[in-house]
Order: sequence, then structure tokens, then C-alpha cells
Amino acid sequence: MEVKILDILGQTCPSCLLIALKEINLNYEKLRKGELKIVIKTDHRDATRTIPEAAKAMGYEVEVEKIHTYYEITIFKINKRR
Amino acid sequence: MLIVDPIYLFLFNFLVGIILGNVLNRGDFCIAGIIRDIFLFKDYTLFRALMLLIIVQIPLFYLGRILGLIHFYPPPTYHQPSLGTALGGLIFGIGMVLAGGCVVSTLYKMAKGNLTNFLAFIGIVVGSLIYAEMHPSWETFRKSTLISHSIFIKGSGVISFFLVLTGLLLFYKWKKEGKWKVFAYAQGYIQPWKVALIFALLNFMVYIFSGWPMGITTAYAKIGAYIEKLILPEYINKVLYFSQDSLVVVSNNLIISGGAGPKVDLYFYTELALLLGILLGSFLTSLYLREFKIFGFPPLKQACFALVGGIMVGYGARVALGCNLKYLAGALPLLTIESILFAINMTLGAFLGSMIIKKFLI
Repeated sequence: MEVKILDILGQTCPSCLLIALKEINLNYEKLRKGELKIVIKTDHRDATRTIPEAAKAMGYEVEVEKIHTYYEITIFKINKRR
Repeated sequence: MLIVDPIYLFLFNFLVGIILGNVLNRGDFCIAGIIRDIFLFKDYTLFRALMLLIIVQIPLFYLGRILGLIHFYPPPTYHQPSLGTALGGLIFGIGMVLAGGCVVSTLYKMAKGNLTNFLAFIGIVVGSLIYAEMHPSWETFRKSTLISHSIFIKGSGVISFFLVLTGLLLFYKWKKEGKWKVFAYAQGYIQPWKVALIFALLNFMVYIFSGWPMGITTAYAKIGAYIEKLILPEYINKVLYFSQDSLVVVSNNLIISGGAGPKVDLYFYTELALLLGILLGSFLTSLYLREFKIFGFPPLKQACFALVGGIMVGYGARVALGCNLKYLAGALPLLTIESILFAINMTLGAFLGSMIIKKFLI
């Protein structure tokens, strides 16, 4: 699976969510097919609420992990094989 | 129950600031963000907590009054509403959205090492300094555009009662729908409704012990004044705004006064102490959570937005004689005309700010 890393460390709201949403929409096809993972690096605490909430509402899987001083939000779709 | 001793007054406000900085950081409770996200994302999640903060203080302040805990009613920092309140609120509202934070959230976010918010902080100080130059004209403007001679709205008692009743019904409904529980992955996250309750209790205590509910923006002007004094020591003496006292309080035969000028006075013991406390409280919290880190400056466009927004926040707050902390958190529960006027115009400004962001930021 391809991984796209989005470094928005040091940026503040509402850019974090806006950038994440834009990136999800731009890569809609690849995300839907399960070919791409978007990894967002953010130090904005509220983004660990808003980004996962928005991504889940769009039907994506979300994982969040704290790395050193920031959070890594991974957005992806599990490709169901027949 | 007023604290009269300046040192204790300072320490009290400083301590309140530390606690506030801690909970605001952990819950990432940003009033500017809460109002903006309604327009930008139709996200009402944290707005519920903001409503709780405002409504819960109505009975608290009332109780404080009938029990004689509250000394000043209305607080001496409240004025008659003028067009300045409305105009300032509008400028403030646009600014806080562009800056990504209001006068309080800019502090707790900047204390985590965020340079975008630091730029907004500089903007707020600069905005206050620009206002200082134009203070006399604004003072005339406010006096000639008074909207009402009373501080409170008519029938504020009855309206308060209905507001509390409506609030209780709404809060109960949200509880049944499970809407109070907010999920965030951030370590040490504290539920927004808890932040709102702690905030309300702190504000109530500040009203009792410090004289009136929290305010903070004059402290920004004061910081600006101290810096200006360093650079232009002779010029600042000629700036009327910094040589006047905007607040004179008589209590227990003691006269205490304060202004935006570069001196240790009432605003130093109250607002500046609170500001420093919030910075320290949030800084310590981010150290504890291992989240303090300076990641460098944001993209140029975002940096400009933060700086310009900050200037508008600082300037707007001075024109309106207060900010969202003073008006939304403290004066709205007392139903003053000023606070309602400010809240409406600030919301309108936030709407305009959201439109600007949608079009130009990303």
C-alpha cells in the first residue's frame, strides 16, 4: 500500500482539518480502493478529535498514535477481498 | 470577600490562570474555534460545552449576590453599550478566526511551543498599541454613540430564569442522546463539559475574590506598553491611553486604580497575573504530557493570517472595551446589553472570518 505523509506540525486550526479533508478528497480513488494510506502528523490536540471524526464519517478506518511530542493520524480503507 | 492585599491578589489570579491553562490545554477548549467550526464544519460538539459555561454561571452569580459573596454588582469594568461595542466585536470576531485563536486560547496554544499562535500573540499586542494611538477619537466615538444608559437588559431576572430552564432541558436532552461524551485521542484529554464547569467555577471565584469576572485584554496592552517604554521611553509619556487610569475602585475606604500604562497597578495584579498564569499552566501541562515542542513557522500565508488576525483581535478588543472572555464568559450570564451586543457582532465577525478562510487560506 502506498503511503502519503502529510506533515502539518506547528500549524494551527482550522488549517489542520481543512488540509486533511482536502487531501482525502484529492486521493479519493486510491483511498477507496485501499491502495493508499494517508498519514497526518499533527501537534494540534483538537485535530485528534476532528480529523478522525470526519474521516470515520466518510467511512474510513482511522488509527491514531502518539509519537514523541506529536500525533500521527493514519487514514485508510481495508480492501475487502472476495 | 475581596482580596485587598496586592500580593495575594496577584497570587490568586496567577493560580487561577495556572489551573485554567492546564484544563484549557488538555481539553483544547478554544472559544474562537468553537464558534468558527459551527460555520466552517457545522460542528456543534464543543458549542454545547460553551453553552454550559455561560448558563451555569447565571445561578452561580445569582447565588453569589444573595449570599453577599459578590461585592460589585454591576462590576466596575462594565460600561454602557455603544456602537464601539458592536464595531469592536465585529473586528474581534473576524480577527479571532483569522488568528486561529482568541485572547485566551492564543496563550495556552503558544505555551505549547506553537509559533503560529505566537505570531497571533504579537499581533494582539501590536493591535493594542495601534489602538492606544487612536484612543481619544474612539473615546469620543463611544460617548457620542451610546445605545442605552443602562447596563443590564430590561427584565433580566425573568429572562435569566427562562434561560436556565431552557438550558437545563437542553442539557438533559443532550445527556440522554449521549452528546456530552466527546472522544479525542489526545493523551490526558479532559471532557469539554468538565472544562466548562471548572472554567465557570474559577470565574465565579474570581468574581468573589478579585472583584469582577475574568478579563485579560488590558494585560496585552500593558505588555505592549512595557515594550514601548523600553524602545521609546519619552514618547510613551505623551500617549494619553497609557497615562490614564481606566479603572478606579473604592473598597473598604481603599482606593485602587489601574490602567494600560507600564506600571504595577490593579490590572497588573488581576489581568496580567491571569495571563502569566495561563501561560505557565499550559506550559507545565505540555511538559508533563511531553508535548512541548517548537516546530518552526507555518507556511507564509498562515503566518500572515495569524499576525493580521491578531492585530484585529487586539484592536477590536480595545474598541469594544473587552474580549470574549469578559463578555461571553462573565458578562453574558449577567445579561448586560454590552455583552449581548458584543456576542452578536463577534459571531457575525466569526462568520465573515470563516468565509475569508474558506476562500483564501487553503
